[in-house]
Amino acid sequence: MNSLNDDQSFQIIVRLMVNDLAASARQMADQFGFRAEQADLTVRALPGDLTMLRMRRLNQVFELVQSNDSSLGHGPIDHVALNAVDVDSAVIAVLAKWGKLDPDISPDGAADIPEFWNAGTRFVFMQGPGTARIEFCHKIEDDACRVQKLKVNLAGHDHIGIHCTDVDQSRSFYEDLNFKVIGDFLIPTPDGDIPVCFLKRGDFCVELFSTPALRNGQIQYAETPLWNALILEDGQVSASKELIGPDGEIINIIPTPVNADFYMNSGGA
Amino acid sequence: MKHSYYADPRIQAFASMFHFGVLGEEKTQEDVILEATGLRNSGLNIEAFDCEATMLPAARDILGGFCKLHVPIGYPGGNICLAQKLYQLEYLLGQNIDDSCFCLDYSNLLDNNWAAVEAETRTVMDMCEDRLPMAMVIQSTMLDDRQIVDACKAIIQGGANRVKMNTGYGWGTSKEEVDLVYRHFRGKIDIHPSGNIRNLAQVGQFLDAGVSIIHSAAVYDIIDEFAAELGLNNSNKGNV
Repeated sequence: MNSLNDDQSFQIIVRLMVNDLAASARQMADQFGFRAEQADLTVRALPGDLTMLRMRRLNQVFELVQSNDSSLGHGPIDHVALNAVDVDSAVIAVLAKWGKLDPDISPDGAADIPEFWNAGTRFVFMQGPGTARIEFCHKIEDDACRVQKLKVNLAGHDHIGIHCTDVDQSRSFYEDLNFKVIGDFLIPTPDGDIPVCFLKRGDFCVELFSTPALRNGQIQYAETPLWNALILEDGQVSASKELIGPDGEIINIIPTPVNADFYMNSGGA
Repeated sequence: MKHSYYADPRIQAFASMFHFGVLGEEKTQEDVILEATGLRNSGLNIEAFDCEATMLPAARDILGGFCKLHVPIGYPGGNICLAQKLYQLEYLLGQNIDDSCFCLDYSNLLDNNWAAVEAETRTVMDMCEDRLPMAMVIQSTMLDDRQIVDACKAIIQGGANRVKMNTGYGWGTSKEEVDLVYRHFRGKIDIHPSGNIRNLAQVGQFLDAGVSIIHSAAVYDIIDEFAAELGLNNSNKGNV
């Protein structure tokens, strides 16, 4: 156990399986502003035998892992959301670099969810490497002070979206991992309600949501999910362990490296 | 690395929106080599290094994938003929360049010939589709407000979604110009201020208009200013 408190020593790294590591790293850098964590690596000149690369933007770290599985698809870890002060401007900046909107969720661009928080949330889903979902979102009640503090429009971690079959069951699982509920919402749709629960630990947030399509079996998880695992760096544990979440999501818990350079407190949902 | 704080994620994210480089007819290959070497040695991971097409091999040789390379077309005058500009574009596409901007025919802009602006944009964007991120340069300082709005409208109708407000190189971008485009075209066009951007306060003003790319020759000074605002230690200053 190290001397950092929980807020400082806890972070979630999200593992993303990709079929072309070099192209994926380049996409993350060019379209989403991520940088290789190893300062000596540049995404345009990666070693040919590289099979894993960690990339960071502010407090969000992705672990890109080379996979030869051609059937990668959406799994229980559905998306990663980055905080954007101005979602519409963030979208057009990515589209201008020939990025793509997620055609299943955001075919027409940014939209609002008025049910969230006090004044709603503006959001959009973009296609990351291999069509992995990357959301940009902004809590409308937030003022613009974050842009002046961080001096960027597209910031770091906002939340990680878990598409689950039973929100209550998943809530209990994440509460056991020391996450605390910060918001419960119900989004009515013509096909049925979508319950949503946000839980937070330290600077990191998970969004649990359950769609009628998943509950009714109209959609199923891919055998090998794109967003493949959550790596929880936790200063409160002394040994690594792997857990499997209620919907099969892989959770790797590892002690926080004592020499970790940066712990960001840049806010989330 | 020039400053240890260049590795701080806040500095990296901030730096990731800047273009910096060496452009202009009086600039020599030695100038490009000097600045590219300085950038590489600084460890500062900016969005792109800007240079002219003739300097591309030198910049590529030194930077070796360290950051994107941005090469403007028809820079800075815009008034070479379309065929010549398209020849430059073809060459840059063949070079797998990372990013570019295209100086529109300024006489069309000044003459309010928006159909011609739209057609020129359409020709360029058809060639760039899914390959090369391209900004259209309108040299907004020469235009009145109505012309700036009409120019952006023509660009959007021509299939582009990026506007570079000025070439820099003696032409500056004002907050008012950026605010004007943001008010009219928020979420429809990505605004790139360029020219006379020298300090953090100016950057902050542009950020309020959703800007995510800024061209500035003062990037090191601006980042030092941001680092000081964050309270980051400046004591590790070394040789670039």
